[in-house]
Amino acid sequence: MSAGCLLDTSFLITLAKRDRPQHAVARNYFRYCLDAGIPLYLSPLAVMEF
Amino acid sequence: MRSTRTLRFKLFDQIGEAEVSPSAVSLPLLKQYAEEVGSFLSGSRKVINLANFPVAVKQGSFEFEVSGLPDDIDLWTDLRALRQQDSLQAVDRGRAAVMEKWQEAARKRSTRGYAIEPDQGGARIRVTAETAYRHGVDSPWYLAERYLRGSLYESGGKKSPNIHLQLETGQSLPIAATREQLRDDKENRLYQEVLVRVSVEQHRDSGELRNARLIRFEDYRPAFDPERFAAYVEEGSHAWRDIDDPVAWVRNQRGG
Repeated sequence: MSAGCLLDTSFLITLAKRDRPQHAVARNYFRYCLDAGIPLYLSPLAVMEF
Repeated sequence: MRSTRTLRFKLFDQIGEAEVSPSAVSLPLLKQYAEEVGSFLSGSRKVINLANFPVAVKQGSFEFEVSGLPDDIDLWTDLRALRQQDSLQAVDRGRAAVMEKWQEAARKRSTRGYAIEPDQGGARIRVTAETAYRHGVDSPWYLAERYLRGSLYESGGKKSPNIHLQLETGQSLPIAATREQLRDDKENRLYQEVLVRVSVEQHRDSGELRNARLIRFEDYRPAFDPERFAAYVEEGSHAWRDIDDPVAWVRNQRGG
């Protein structure tokens, strides 16, 4: 069982914003985590900023 | 057949020279006490329907005897916790609020007292001017609500229904549940990875969990959905369209 990933605000913005240079990379990481059953966590700070 | 239990709530006070009793009680006091007993029984999660349980009014000084109570609800766990006076943080918040009211009333009025007497040899809970029911602020255990993810390897139980979860931390945690929660759940979750919402005591230093109670099973099936992701990107790109450099923006939000 995996420990999980803590997602920061920059990752969330890059994942959501199509014209960010690393958007495709963020998407691949996101998809990989879901497919592999790796839990994704958000801090209250990241939620507030995003 | 479901086991049931009886609970006695007792109120002690005086009206003038006379002791409060079923034949001598003021309407405001009767109304207030009945509401408080109802709140205590049902708790903040309204686990039982008060209309379903017969109540006998008895001498003693003034007593409500409530019978037919299911023996698998968190009421009994809370009553066990209330053997300690610094335990209000560990019981249902609705019941804790009633206990605080009773403690305050008993302090203000020396003739006022309360008692709760479970059947089957359960310890009698007394609230008087001499008791000090309170939240145990010095306790290293604090009450929290948490999402927990783990493998469910046991579910059910005759007298104390619960589920057992093997957590990602390695801790094996029993989680008290009601018979209804387990009976009404339509999914077979046994030996599956599950996500549950619980109220639980957590140790402030070690992070260890104890006395968990199930709030609900969460619908948790993480999977990548291209259509939903595309909609998310569409919305996100629009929302962040005015921010050219998100990294600088985040740094600025955090004070440079």
